[in-house]
Amino acid sequence: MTNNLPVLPVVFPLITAVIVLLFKDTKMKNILASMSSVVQVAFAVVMMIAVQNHHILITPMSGWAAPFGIMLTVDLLSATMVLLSSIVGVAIVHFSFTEEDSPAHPLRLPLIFFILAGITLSFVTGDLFNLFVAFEIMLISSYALVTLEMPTKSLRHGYSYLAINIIGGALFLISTGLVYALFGSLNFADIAISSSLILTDPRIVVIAALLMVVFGLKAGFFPMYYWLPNTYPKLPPAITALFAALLTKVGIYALLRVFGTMLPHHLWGIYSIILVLAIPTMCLGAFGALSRNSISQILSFNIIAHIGVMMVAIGLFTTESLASLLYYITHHIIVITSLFLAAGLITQKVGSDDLSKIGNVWQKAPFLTTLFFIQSLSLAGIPPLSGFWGKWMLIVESLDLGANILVAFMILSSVLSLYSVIRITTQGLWTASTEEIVQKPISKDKLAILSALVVLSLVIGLLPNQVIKNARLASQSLISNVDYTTTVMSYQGIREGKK
Amino acid sequence: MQSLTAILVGILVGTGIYLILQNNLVKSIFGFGLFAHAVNVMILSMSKNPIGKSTPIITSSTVYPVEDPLPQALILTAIVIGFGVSAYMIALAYRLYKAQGHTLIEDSND
Repeated sequence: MTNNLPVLPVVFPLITAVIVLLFKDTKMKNILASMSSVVQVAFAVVMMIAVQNHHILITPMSGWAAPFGIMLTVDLLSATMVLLSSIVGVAIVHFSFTEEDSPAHPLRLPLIFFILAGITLSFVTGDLFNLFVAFEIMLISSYALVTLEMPTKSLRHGYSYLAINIIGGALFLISTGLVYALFGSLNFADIAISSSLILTDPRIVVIAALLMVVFGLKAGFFPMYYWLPNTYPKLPPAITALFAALLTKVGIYALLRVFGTMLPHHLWGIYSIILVLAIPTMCLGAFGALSRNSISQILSFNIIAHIGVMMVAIGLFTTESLASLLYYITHHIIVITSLFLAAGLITQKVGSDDLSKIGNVWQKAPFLTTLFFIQSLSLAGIPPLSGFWGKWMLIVESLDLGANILVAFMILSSVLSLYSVIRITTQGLWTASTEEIVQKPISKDKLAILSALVVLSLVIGLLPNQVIKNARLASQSLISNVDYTTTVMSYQGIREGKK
Repeated sequence: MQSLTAILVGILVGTGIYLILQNNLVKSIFGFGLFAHAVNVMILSMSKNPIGKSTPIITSSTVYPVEDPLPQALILTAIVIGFGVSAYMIALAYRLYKAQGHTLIEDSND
């Protein structure tokens, strides 16, 4: 259905960013940002309802007939991702007003809104080149945020983040050029139709491999993940939460969009490469988490272990495995945001996030420690919390397909990752501290937002049916892209064509 | 024409990567610039051989076939984005210079 709704969640954060930039008064700024982030959730919910009713929403820019104009296209997968990112957006925006009780850098809020706009654009775009532009909007704002927020002596890690992403952007542009040369189009739906005519062309495999590298770099696939655990812990907690929850998932989303909607589903070689790379990603992520001694570093390595699990789901590429992936992403975005934010509050409360230096946290902040504990169990996948169901669906599906080795590694990685997060609690939060630590009060608002996130992830875990149903529908529409392509390509345009 | 372009792109990418791998940020900035140009030249070559085609400005007197304008539009966007990235990197180099007195990317143990 033609609808202008998909434009709103892209344009609104852009406008907010510029308006927030103009205000000097911090209080006014914060109120505006807070309101805007809540309105963004409202847009996302309305869009979700519209997608439930009409399946595919298209917004043809300037009314050019398909496939010539830029066309925003939203299906159930995009709408879900926009909703998730808007929910994370609310939490991040409210957490970034202050940094350890001092006001945040004046550019922080505008940059966060630019990042959110880029993320949303990458979810709703209907063509490859706009996906590139969305990535660049997101990345350039994130470069600026990284270097502004990072202590000067850690700038080197900021530089490695920058360098790896600039190379990734250049590779993305190369693959866009190759796609245009091969298919004569950049629109996902149009490419899907032309690529179904040349299924066995080896050039499709080359493009798929290149795109896998580009998006794998963003998501943190082995062997391209080393920048992630070095960069993320150096940033303030609110920013880390934003990057950890959304930037890696944008990579996974783009991979799904490209492999699911755009390219034909016969790329066995590429799928096997993803499966093979998934094993070291899962294991090294979990081992890395065990080797670290500070909360944010342990969590950063856990992201990689979980990206490995997501890679298994992508590599199997069946309707059920993608459904489990979508459930898993839903769970992971919310849980990892709340864990990083909780870690930030703990750091603020006791003055350090090094496990050997903190202690007695459970006495000083019993509620916060409980929230952290619940979420860390959920991250590791203990039933009946939300992390369990996605892994369960994926393991059942892998056993059905006979991928026993993958299941073994998935369980190994889960156990190691469980141990690494339990260590935070037993060796850090529950231990008796020898020295008296000056404790600072933490704001009630932040605690309330954190509790809301925890409640949300508990609801997803305890009542998973609706989310799983949604994930299954989204993955079906991704695997059989007929609805997507016909809706996009049937758009005739509102202009008189000149012959 | 296409093979010549391929060689040019190869040289640009090679030089770019060599410069990126230097540990001086100023050299890396030039490296990233060359890399971006290599990509742009490659995309330009995607509009096939331009010999014998006219400019894609459609009027009543246009002689067909015309050149494919879309790769040029892509390159324009890519140049603008690359411009932003270069400006940012120069600012980063300046900040690094102010902070440590030189622009070398050093291995520190933190």
